[in-house]
Amino acid sequence: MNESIEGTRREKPVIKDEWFTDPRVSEAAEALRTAQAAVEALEAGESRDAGTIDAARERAQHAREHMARVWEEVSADKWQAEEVPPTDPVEAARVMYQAKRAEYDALKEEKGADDPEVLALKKVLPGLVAKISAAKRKARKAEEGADEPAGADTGRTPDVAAAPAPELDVPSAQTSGTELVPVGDEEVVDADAGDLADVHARLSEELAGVHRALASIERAAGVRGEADPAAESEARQFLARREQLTAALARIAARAAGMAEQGDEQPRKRAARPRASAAASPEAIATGSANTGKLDEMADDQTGLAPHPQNVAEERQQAVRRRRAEKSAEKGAERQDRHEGAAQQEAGQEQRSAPEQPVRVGLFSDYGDRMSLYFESRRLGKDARELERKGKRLATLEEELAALTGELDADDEELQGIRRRHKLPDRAALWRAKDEEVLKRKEDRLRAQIDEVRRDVELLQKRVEAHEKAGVEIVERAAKRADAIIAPQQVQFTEMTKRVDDANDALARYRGMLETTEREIAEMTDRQNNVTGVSAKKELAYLLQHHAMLHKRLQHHVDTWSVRVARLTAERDRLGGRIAERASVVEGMKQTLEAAARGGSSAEQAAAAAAHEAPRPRSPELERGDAGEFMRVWNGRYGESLPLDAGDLSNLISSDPTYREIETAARLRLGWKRGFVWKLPILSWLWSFRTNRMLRQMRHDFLKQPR
Amino acid sequence: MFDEEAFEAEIAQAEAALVESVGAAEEGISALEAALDASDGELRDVLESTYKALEALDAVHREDA
Repeated sequence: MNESIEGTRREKPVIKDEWFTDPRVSEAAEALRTAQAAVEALEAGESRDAGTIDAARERAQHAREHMARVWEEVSADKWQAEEVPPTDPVEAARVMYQAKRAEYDALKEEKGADDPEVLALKKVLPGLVAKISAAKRKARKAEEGADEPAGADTGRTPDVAAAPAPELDVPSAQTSGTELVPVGDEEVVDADAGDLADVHARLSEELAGVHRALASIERAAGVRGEADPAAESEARQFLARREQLTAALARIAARAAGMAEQGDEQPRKRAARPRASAAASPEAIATGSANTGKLDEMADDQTGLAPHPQNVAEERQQAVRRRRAEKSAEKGAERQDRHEGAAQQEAGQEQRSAPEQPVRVGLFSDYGDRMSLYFESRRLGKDARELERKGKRLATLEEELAALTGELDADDEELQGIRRRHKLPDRAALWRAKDEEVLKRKEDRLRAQIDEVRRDVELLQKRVEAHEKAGVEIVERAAKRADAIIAPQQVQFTEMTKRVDDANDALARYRGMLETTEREIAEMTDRQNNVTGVSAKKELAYLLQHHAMLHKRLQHHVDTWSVRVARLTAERDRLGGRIAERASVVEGMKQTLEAAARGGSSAEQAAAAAAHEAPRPRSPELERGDAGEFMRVWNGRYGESLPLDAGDLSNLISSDPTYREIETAARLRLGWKRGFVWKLPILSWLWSFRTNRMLRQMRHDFLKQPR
Repeated sequence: MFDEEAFEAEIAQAEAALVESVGAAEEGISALEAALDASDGELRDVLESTYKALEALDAVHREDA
């Protein structure tokens, strides 16, 4: 169950605001802030003792690690709280298969297809697929109100003898397609007590014959050890007939009881009919021939036609054949008992537990005219002929079975001879051959199941592709809409950048004039020192004074405007970060769409998604763990919205996390900030894109990472 | 000989250019920031509706499967 639950969880949860308000997170975050503040204070000069500072740093590191553990714990709790374990057996089986399949795929990629561990996993998969099919079948049967069938998960062979009721599908009067009219109604309606006794005796004999025929079929099926559709069909017919006869006997009993109560001896409406003849013996009934004659006789009697002649010779021959077949079948049954005695027992139980038809008393009591009875009797005759046909078929099968049994016996004797001559152990070879046959049949069934599963998989694949196509369309529309929103801002940003550049240029020109003034003042000072004339000195003094005023004015303006222009430049960079952040989301969508449009492998798409989801530091400095470079990139992206501590980042980067992990850690330390909320959904979706294979791989990788 | 008037005029011109360009840049920044703030919600709506659509699609897919 744990495996099932584990398999259904999303690989990465969507982080929610309330996670951050969890008291455990708040406390850990506060402890981390306090520890970090202590380190900063000590580093800022509160203490020059290296040991004290190191101890504070160590405490901060512990607080950081504690924070990470708490976050892990809280996220796991929240995540788990949102998950609902699958209660659907089909889903559970599928989840189990997916989990095992993911493990197999990952291991295969890692170790190669020939690795023993991979091969062992591969052997497990078909069983899990079979479980899915079995669960589906079970669910389907449950929907149809049927019992659980023998399935691949139980390993039972659905042969005739062991087949439970739903597979036999015993036809009812409404569903069989044959006209299974109640037997003996017209006789019950019209008969006096003596006739009732006759009819009861005849039907009882027939019922006994049906029971024997069924037992014979079961024994034959036990000998064969395999399903035979023809025998199954016949068994169904016999079962249906048995129900009819049972119901008719119940009606006769009810009628007799009614007569006893009323003391009503109904006048006989018909001429004396022949009583149940010796031709309707159990043996003849079992083969169907005698019954046909009797029922046809009944039908003809209703119309005044002459009765059909009985083919006594054929009946006798068939009875002989049946006895011979029964004898052979009994021999086979003895052998079969050693292997599948339990299956016969099950079949016997099945027979005993067959549902009884509701008894309808006096069904035709309102019908007075003989035409109705004629049609009913014709229907009975048709049913009887069908039974005869089946009986003949059964006899033929029994003959074939007897012949086969004879051959087997001969083979058996030959084998025994070989065994005696060569001192071989018993009849192991024969049974082994039979086992191989059984195995072959099982294999065929398994192949059929595999084909079914393969079709399911293809359907599923089509659904997945349709799902992906729909997902791509959704993202495509989102990318277009987002692009339409962002594009004008990018134009605005370009224009604004040009204006800031103009301001910088103007300031540079102004600063150039200040420098020119400074050079002029220097030249004039030199000339003043060198000239001798009074007027010239006065003129230079005047110019120097004037230039000094100009310089002061220019210097003041440069100082003032430099601050404003620097602020403009910083603002431009900050807005550039916001623009870049938006552009990166749209770019991520486009990359995903391109990968999907290429129809690339799952690895490609995973790479495209992962490239957007968790980009590694791009510059060599970051690869080396240079916090300063990382800070520059970080601030370029996020401006002032998420200023990070260089020490924290250095520690984070040195542990080689993903960019996302750094972001998460930063959010934890600084709290939830504007600018990420809207970004997460699409990132989350990118996580779930191509879920079937990509996520399994990601999960596998994730679980393999050291904690 | 230093042309005082020409230099004064040049300074005045540079000052005017500086004032104009800085003002224009500040206007551009304000306008862009306002546009970004204004479109934050719109963009969030787009992405959230996309996310919901994908979630719904996933739900349908899970039901189908």
